[in-house]
Formats: sequence, C-alpha cells, structure tokens
Amino acid sequence: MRLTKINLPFLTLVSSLLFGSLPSATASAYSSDVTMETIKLKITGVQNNPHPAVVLVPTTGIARIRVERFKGMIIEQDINVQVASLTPGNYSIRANGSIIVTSFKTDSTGAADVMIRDEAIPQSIQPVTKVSLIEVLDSSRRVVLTGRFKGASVPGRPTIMGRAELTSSDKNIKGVARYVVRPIGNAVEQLVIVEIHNMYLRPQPYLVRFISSTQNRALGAITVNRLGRGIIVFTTNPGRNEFDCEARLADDRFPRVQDIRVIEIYDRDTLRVFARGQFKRVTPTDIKEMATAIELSGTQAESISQAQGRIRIMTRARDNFVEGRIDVALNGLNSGDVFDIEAEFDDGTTVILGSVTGDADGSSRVRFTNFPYRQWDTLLPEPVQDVTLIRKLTIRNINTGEAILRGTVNSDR
Amino acid sequence: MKISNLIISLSIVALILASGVMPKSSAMASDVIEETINLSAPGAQKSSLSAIAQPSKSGVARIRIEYFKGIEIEEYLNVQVAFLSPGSYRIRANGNIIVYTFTTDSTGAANVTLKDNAVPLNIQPVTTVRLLEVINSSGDAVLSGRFAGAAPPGKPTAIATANLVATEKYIRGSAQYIVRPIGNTVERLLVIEIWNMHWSPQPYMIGINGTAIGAVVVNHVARGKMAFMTNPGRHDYDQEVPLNSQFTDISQIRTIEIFDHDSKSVFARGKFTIITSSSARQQAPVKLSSRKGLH
Repeated sequence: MRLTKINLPFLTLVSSLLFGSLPSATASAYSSDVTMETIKLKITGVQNNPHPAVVLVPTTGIARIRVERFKGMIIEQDINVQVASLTPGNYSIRANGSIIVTSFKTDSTGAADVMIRDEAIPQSIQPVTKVSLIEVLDSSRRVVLTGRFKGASVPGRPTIMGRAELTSSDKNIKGVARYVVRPIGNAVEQLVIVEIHNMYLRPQPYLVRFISSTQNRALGAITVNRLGRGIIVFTTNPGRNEFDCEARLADDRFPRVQDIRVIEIYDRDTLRVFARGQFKRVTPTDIKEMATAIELSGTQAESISQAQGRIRIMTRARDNFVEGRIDVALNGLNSGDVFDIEAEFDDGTTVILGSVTGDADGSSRVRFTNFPYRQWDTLLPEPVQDVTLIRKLTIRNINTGEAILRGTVNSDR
Repeated sequence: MKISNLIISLSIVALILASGVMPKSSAMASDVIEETINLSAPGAQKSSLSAIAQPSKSGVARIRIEYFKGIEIEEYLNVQVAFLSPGSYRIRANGNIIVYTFTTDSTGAANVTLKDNAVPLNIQPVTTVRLLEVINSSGDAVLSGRFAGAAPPGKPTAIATANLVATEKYIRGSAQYIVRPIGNTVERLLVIEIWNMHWSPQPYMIGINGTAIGAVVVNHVARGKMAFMTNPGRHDYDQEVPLNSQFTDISQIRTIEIFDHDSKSVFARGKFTIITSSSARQQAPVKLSSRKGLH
C-alpha cells in the first residue's frame, strides 16, 4: 500500500507512532532520561589571553549542565565549567546573576576544570536545569567569562537523519554511519554514529575522517574490540552516555552534520582508506513510502488463548535514505516465556528478526529498524533489505517452536 | 611509613584528585556491575571465511547492571559474534535457558543487546548468568564462555601516574592507570587528560610504550580526556574505549606520548611512576571525596 492510499485517520495514527511513541521491548522499562546542555562561554573583555606567546590559546570557557533521572527521580546531576588562558589566580562561578556556586584556582596557564556534583550543588539551583546564566568572576568580582543556557530537556524526535553504508575493498569489512539532529528543549543536539565490524587490519586505532564541501578533517579514531567491532559517536553533548564511546563533535568544523557528504576510515600511517561511505541524496520520487498494521491472530495450535499482538511495518523517506521499521507489540503472553518473531517474504524465504520475552504483565514490545540510534532500537537483520516484501509474520515459542500468533500483510500494500 | 613517603603518597593522592581522574565516587550511590568475557569456539564450527585472518575466538559477551541506592535502574546482556557461518543462532544461558534467536549478517557477524524488560525473567538480574553459549540450529554450542562473577569496583590494587611534559610550556596533561578488582574479576583502566592543546590538526594520537592505542579530541577550551578500559560502558568517563588487547597487563605500561598523526612529532610525553600497593590502600578513602573545586 502506498502512503497516498492510507486514509487520514490511519495516517495520523501512524505518524504519531512513527517516532518514539511506541516503546520497544526495553523502552517501557527504560525510564532513565538525561538532560544535558553544553555552551561556550564568551569573554567580556576584562581579560584576554595573558599568554601572547601562545596565540592559539584564546581566553575561553565552556559550561555544561547534566541531570539524569530515573522514573522522575534525580539520580545524578552536575555542573562542569572549564576555562583556559585566564590570568592565573582565584575565580568563582556565579549562576543566575547572584548565586555563587563555587570558587576555584587555575593552574599556572590559567586553565581549570571544575566539576560540582550532586550534594555539592547549591539547593537554589537544583536541579541544575534552573541555571540559565553562568559567569566566571575574578577575585575583584568582575565577570571575565559569561554564557547562557538555552534550556535543555530530554531529546525529542529527530528532525534530520542521514545514513551511509561503509564499503571496503575487503568484502568482509562492514560498517554504517548515521547522523541525527534532534531538539533537546530549546537547544539542538547533533550526533554522528560510526560503527564498523570485521576490522582485522592492523594497526589500530583507525582514524575517522569526515568530508563536506568545505572541510576534510579527521575527527577522531575508532578502536575495535577483539572481534574487530567498534563504535564511536561524535556528539555535541558527549557524556549523555547513550553510547559506550562518545567523543566531541567538532562543531566549529562541522556545524551542520547534514553537510557531511563522505566518511572514511583510514590508516594513520599509510593513509590507506579501509572503508568509505557516502551520504547520498535520494530524490523523493525514488522512495516508496508505506505503512501498514497487521493484527495477529491465534493459530489453531495455540496454547495461549489470551495472546494478542499487532505489528506495524513502515518505510519512510528520510533525508538521504529510506527507513524500514517493524514495531511489534504483544500481550497476553506467559510471563517470562521467550518468543521468536519470524518474517516470511514474498519469495517464500523466512528470517527470524529476533526474540521477545513476556514481561511480568505478559506484554512485550520491540522495534526493529535499519536506523537504530537509541539504546533500545534493534537493528533489522541484514537479510531483511526491504520490509515491504514481508508477507507473513509468525510468533513462535522459542523452546517448543509452536506458533502462537500469525498475521498476513494485506496484499494491496 | 616514613614521613617523607607519606608526604609523597599524599601528594600523589592530591595530584590524582586535582586532575580529576578518579572515577565517579562511590558516595554517589550509583553502582555499576559489569563484566566482559570472551566466547571461545569449542571446535563445533570453523569460519567459512578464509580470505582474511580470523581470530581463534569469535565472540564476546557482556553483562551490565546499574543500581542507584540499591534500586536496579538498568541492566543488559550484550553478545557479539564474528565469523560464524551466516545464519540463525540462539543464545543460551546457564546451560538450559534459551534467551534469544538472532540472524547474522553475510559475514557471520551479529551484535545483540537484551536490555531491561527484554532480559528474560529467569536470568534477571543478569549477574545470575554464569555460563553463556551461542548454539546453532542443531543445538550445538559454537561459542561459549563463563562469567567469573563481577561486583562493584573494589580498592585499586595498582596505581601509576604520569605527568605529561611538553616542549611547549603551556601544554599540560596527566595519565594514570588503575587496576582494581570487580568481584571475581579484574578491571584495568588507563585515563589520559590533556589541556591547552590548540595545535592542528586534531585528533592527537596517544601512544603507550611506543604503540598508538587511540586518539584524543579536545574541546573548545583545548581540553580532552579519555579512558581506555577493559569494561567500556561503565560510564565513569565521557569517552570510554576498549583497552587495546596488546596491553592486557596494564602494569607493563611505562611511557605515554601524545603525538601528531601526520608528522609523528611528539607534543607531550610522560613516564609512569608506580604507586605502591600500600600507597594505593591509602588512596581508597579518596574515592569518597567530592570532586568539587578541582584546581
């Protein structure tokens, strides 16, 4: 079914489900949210680089607030202020124009890294998202650095998404790069996620380079584990800890991640490119959009009469690729039982997408996508290149192989 | 202990505190239990891909559970495999609990994470998993491994520090390595911090004992920090990466260099000074301190 054939109410429903509103198998329990914002501090003119010999080190600063909540309860929060090239000496940090947060002393180069965490944060600025203005004062109470937080919140739905398959002359080396731009309250966060696997070439680490129309720069290096698998995420807010390895995105070089056209993984010595990917533009006419919902019904052999399920399959045009997604929502399962989700394609082949387990209340949800960017997204197996070719879905008990639910995709999709 | 030794030890403790390298304080009431193991092939299957060098073992598994004030707030089981024969496999825990079915890509690789509610109830918490196997369609184990039993990090058993010295006097940096028990297993981490690094181009390569192990990127104020560790994902640090497998014995690290990836010119260099185990024991109370006012 093409998108144009879907009636409006269903389209609205699908739209509301397309991002975020359907938790995955784990999302329903994933109640830990991080609110985080990093800003640059500007000089006020009171001081400016007391080390003229080091012309490349300007007087500057950054500030970061971070709050982590679990089920609404704050479990961790901090304010971090870093400064460079101040006149060496004593300083204090002031919030919202009147609240002295802490005092600190720079090293002999005028640098400092100050972290105020949890109980050390004054009550009047807890949670730290209350901080809108942050200032660094010298010993004469003059403001030397200042900056304003825009007001962050937990990440919203992405507004821009891009994807590039990494290819290599070695057919076993594989990878994918994804970029995401998403609002975090009044601020914006950008991520570039780079994953590679089967990288058995030596030596490590492998450098990661991005190319736009104006820049061609290495931004970092990726280290793989003993399986040759590695991931690095360049982000404007490293420290959110959604990914194991988060590095700073050099937003002075790549202020708009959607401007990145090419990514390369290369050897630092020989400059040999191991893998390369292009964020190709796709014209809208090339894209087949589809959305369909399948109600699963019990099989004749069913042993769990109360089991019910619904699966939504959709494809949607993103900025330079087509996202394929399968959302599975089951209920009435036996708590603790594990079930395989089996997809049958038009050509008769079958692929097991993955498994779900019945929660304490007998429900289970999971989302498979070719664009996983949240911790709880599950990557579609590689054999599933086009979700629109799925014609039948079966839920089977993992131990007995018994099919408990089955559904068929409407033939007019 | 002689007074002079005590002063030196306290100075080192102060140095470590000052450079902010100690991981999140245990006073924060958030504990992470994490263990990563290798999965080995018992010979049931050999890689069908002979064109490239293949490892003798082709799997890793990790369990991670995070508590806040005794409340479990997050847990997961992660299994990664490489160079299996492409197809579908199952993950089996403790010999008889089938927990997941996955399909590899065409190279025989897969990366599976079961998180929170997706972890079957009979292996919650995930620390109850001892034996982990990947089985094929015949039920034969093609990979297996045993968790030793992790726990929150204990007191360090070995610590060494290095001040980074640069030819340019404004470049500053420090490095530390820590070996600490995590229950029945051991965690190793190497933490590097540099500041006033405004040279171009980034990233700056990090070499230990003459071998590059990673690259650090500095921020707007020319400060960068990263941690190499056996259990990346504990999230004690913003940037955590796997410790290069060439340095499984972290105590063998003697030197560290920050160098340019093009010209290989060295920006900063340091030599590690080992803190004795007795000094390390004195260090333990430091973990309870706040990191407020680091400089």
